[in-house]
Amino acid sequence: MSAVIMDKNATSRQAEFIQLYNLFHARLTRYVQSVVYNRTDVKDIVSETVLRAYEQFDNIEKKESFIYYLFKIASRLITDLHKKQNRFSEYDEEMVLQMPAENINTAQSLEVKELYTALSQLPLTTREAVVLFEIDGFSQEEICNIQGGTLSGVKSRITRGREALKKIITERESVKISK
Amino acid sequence: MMKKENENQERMLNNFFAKAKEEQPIVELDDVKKLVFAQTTAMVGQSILSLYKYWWMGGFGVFIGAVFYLMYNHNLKPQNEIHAAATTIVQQKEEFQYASQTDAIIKTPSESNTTESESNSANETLTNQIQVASAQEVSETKNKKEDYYFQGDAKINFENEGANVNMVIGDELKRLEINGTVINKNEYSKYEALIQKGKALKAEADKSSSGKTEAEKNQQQKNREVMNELIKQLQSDKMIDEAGHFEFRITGSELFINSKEQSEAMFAQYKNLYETVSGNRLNAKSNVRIKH
Repeated sequence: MSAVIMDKNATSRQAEFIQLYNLFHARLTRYVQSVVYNRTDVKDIVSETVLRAYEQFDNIEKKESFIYYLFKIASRLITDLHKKQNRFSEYDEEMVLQMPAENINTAQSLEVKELYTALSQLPLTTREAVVLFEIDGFSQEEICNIQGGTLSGVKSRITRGREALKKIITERESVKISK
Repeated sequence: MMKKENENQERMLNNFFAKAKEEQPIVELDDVKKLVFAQTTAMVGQSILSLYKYWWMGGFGVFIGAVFYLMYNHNLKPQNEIHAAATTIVQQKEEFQYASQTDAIIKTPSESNTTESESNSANETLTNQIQVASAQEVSETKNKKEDYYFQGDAKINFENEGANVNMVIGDELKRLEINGTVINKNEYSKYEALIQKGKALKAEADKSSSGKTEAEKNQQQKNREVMNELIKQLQSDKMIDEAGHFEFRITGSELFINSKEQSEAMFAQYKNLYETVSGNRLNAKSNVRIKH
């Protein structure tokens, strides 16, 4: 009897989680794949984020905070992965080639690769701030909520990140033209 | 020039970001749903498994219930049934008392003659014989644990080639003790001669006790009356517990009920009762015991 009640509770809880998560799935995955460039790592981090969020789903009092909770977990996992493997210091062309391109035209894919190449050369926190602001569309206050720290720090990271990206992309363009 | 170049860079970067926004997620939502479903199943399974640790409580409850059931059905009787069962108890006590007489330590021939001569010279009733036998048993086994046996079991004690042999024999040999060492049943075959000797003594004792005279039968009836009266008094004094167990012993000078020495008043009351009903006076050697 108790098992049946438990099962019903679990099923309704699962449905509620999926309904809420569905709203943020695309943003979360895009964020992770913009910061982590290995397909396997992206899947691992998204899966781990979902599992951790699901385990703690009952403890989230305000469901509108769910998105920040989700991105916070993902951010911490990415930081842990970065510390452990130190994979992201250099852009790996092979890793980018693992990314899917079935639904995108070649030119678009090249531009995205170009952006990822440039992003990979930024420090992790700066890269995250830029991706969250420019690609995922979070406000600076929301990024501050996800990343922690001060609002001015976030503003500074975004500005410095954009400047660095412009510089990197311009340099790469000029190298291509000279070739 | 610089400003224009900066604007171009901004445009290019924004263009890149716009393209990145259109990038398709590499993790499908269906995959996530499957993952969540699997996790839900695992969590439910884990919750059910965690209940196992409480199952022992159910088992313990069943065990306690079984123990109470067995106690009620096999041992304990409600107190209001004691009166109804009193006659049965008296009958059992009476039989027990005769069994005790039969089971009184059977001496080796020389000792046995001494006991018989004491009894004959006193020319007392069967009750007095019981008292004498009991008194002797108490004095001889003062430091030994008192043993009680059911009807038909005989406690045989004799010496054989310097060894002190104790036996309890009913339909078969129940206990064999040589010089204080209890012999294992598997080893009885080694002591076949001793066992046969003990059985012969038991048969002799049975033979002598079966030929009861009219006087003995009358005394048996009298004993029954004595014990009826004693048990009635014990019940009215609430000395018999719920299970119907009690232990009564009266001598010429003291009274023990359930191994506790009773007051002078109680002793006087039970002494008076015993002497009135039995017609015998308690003396220094008297030792009347009833145990259930």
